[in-house]
Amino acid sequence: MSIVNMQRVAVIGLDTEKEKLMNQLMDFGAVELTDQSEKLSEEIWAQTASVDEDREKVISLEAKANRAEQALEVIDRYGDIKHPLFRTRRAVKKSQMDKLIEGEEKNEKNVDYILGLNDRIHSINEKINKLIQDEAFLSPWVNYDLPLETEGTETTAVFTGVLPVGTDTEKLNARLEEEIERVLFKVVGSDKDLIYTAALTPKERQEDVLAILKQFGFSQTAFKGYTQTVGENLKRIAGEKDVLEKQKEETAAEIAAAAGMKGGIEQYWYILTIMRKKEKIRTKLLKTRKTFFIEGWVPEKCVPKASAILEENGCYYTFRDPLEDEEVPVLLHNSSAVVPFEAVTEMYSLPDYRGFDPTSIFALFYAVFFGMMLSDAGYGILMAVGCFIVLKKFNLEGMTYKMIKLFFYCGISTIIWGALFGGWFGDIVAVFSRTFLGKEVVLQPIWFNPLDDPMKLLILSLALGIVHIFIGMGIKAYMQIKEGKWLDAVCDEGFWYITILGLIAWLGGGTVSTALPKVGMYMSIIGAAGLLLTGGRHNKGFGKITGGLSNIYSITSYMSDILSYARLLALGLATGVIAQVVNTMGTLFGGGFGGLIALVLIFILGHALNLAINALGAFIHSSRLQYVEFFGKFYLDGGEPFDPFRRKTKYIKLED
Amino acid sequence: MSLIDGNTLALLGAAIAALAGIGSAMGVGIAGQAAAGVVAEDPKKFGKTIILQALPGTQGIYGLIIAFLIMVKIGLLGGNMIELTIPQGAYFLAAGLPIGLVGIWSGIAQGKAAAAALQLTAKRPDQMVKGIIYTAMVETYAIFALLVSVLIWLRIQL
Repeated sequence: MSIVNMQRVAVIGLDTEKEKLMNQLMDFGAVELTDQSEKLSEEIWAQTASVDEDREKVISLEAKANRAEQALEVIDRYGDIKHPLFRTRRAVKKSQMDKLIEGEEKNEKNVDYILGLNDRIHSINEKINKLIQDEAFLSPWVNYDLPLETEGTETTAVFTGVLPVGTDTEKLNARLEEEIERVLFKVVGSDKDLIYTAALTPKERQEDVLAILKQFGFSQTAFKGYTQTVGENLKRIAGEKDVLEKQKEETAAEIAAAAGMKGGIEQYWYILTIMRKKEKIRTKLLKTRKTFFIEGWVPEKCVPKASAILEENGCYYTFRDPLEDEEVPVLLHNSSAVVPFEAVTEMYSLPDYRGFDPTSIFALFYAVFFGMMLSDAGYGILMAVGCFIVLKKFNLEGMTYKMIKLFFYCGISTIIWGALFGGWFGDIVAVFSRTFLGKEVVLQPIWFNPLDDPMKLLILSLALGIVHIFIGMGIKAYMQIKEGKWLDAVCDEGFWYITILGLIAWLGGGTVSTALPKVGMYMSIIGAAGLLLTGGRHNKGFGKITGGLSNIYSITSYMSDILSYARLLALGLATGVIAQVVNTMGTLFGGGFGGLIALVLIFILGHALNLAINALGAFIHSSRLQYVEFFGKFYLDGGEPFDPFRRKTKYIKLED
Repeated sequence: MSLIDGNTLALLGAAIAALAGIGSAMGVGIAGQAAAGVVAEDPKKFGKTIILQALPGTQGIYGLIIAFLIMVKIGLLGGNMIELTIPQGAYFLAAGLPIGLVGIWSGIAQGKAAAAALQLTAKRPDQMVKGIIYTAMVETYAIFALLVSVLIWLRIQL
């Protein structure tokens, strides 16, 4: 129930058995092979062995697999296949997978066909983009009604161009008329950056006109390659765009019609992926002329079965425990009830192989904190039922499965806390019966209403926090004792236990018994003295004194850690009050039929929003309490996940 | 009746609490700009970015809660306002201050953290949850301010 013990395996076998052994190991799926190329830097290995690889074959398989996957994505995008809410892998019988339904040639042809259609869509898209650019370029000129190829007549010149917005065109016009006399200058359009203008002048004055215009920031626009007027051009572009859009739709329909190829391509892709995996794993093999050598990790429990496989293939092999400084892959193993909470641990970072997997310990706290922060039985029912349906309907795996199951548990916890605090969609029962039935019906909380007695809930929150933090410190102490550092365990955790418990008894014990504060006072003094004396034990000289002082000073960090759990109260109240706000708003329209419809609409919208925001908040802050306050006390992170050589792929799940 | 009586002070408290919305509006705005940038690169990330954008929105909600609680307690929503003494009104003003002030600045700060978390999500989508946690760290102080506001509000005797 924690981090799985690993065994290091080293194998030497005959080249002739290699293929069969690799197939069996892949089916077995519990051996992670490690890279051996480092060994080749040692002379003794370099003389006899080399890395076993066929890079070209890997590359060609990879290219084929990528193309097949791309084809699958294309079918997914344009195909008429409904996308479920959660992506699940297709379960296929193993016996069906070993042989291709259709030959490689046929499959390659299908992939080519799909990708060809995809390329066609791409090129159509490019053309459409080009037209859109043209359209954007021309549309400000829509009022300029000369054909675009016109550059003037025998004696006149026409030119077009833009001025920056804000240019005083009247002043410009006056100046032109004053200096040039016979000139026609017109504004044809404008947008937020530019003014679009055209000018007609006698040819011999063209340069002078341009010179004046340039003083006003004019820059000429040329319509190279265009004929006919802007309006005609825009019409043509719109027509071409329609044609292209239609072609695109037709091509997409062709892809959709070919969706029947999906199964075959999927299987083809699967086989390519497996072949590539087999080819790629060879880079982790060392070979001589007649033998091969592999090393890797096997979970302790799988050692007998692994040995049987190695035995069968006539290999020489050894198993040993990991060495002190070896990096060992991490595999978590927890009872099935706790597995969903591994999602929380994995999101943080896997524990180091020599660390501690706290999943089974914080699981209960996680659900409790979540429930206290959402604390509405109605919301809890929605969450739990929703997650339950998803779990039944979809064959989920991995992280998605864990998250949904996690929310299912959290939903149940929310129902419990909601019932304890009397929150059922806020106070909807009371509000509804008051407004529509004219009676006072109140669903009484089983325990107490936090709004009536917030101090009680605050104390409960902080108490839960202290227990949570103490357990975290306990894990640290356990780890230290396991390493033989029992003195550290006493000094770092033991004295803190005494000090904190003492302080609590000293400051708050008076209400329980008159003797408690005195006991608490002595306890905290003893604890603090211990901390002061031992805090600097690893330091030298003067550091021994400052170490102790800084150790005492870290009481502030314990205080802030404990107070951090006040969020359990605050977020719990927030959910409840917002729910009440929603209900109150719903009744603002009074009783009667119209009022009822208003209430239902506001109820659905308001509570959906409140549930979404506060479930997210509860998830985040429950995680935070684990990550910062709890993990902070002991967690050793940075483990690499165990990644065995196996048949797992993205689209297909094998069944025996 | 003078210009400032207990009820004016209490309503001022509710108004100040609602100012926490300034922080949320700015925070959500900052995060929204970053989110749009991320989605421009990869439209599939919309679902992820909307979560991060929503995070700085809670301060405004907390402010609304306190404003609402004050309005309920002084009977503003029922139509008949209770006559408050000046000290009573000042208590309500005090209840509105923490979330109103902390909400403004924590909302802005959280928006900046959310924007950074969005950049993180753009580059390493698998690490998004860590970005959410970083962003939620800022929220802690808004939650504490909410707590203080609620506790003051609860202890006001009428």
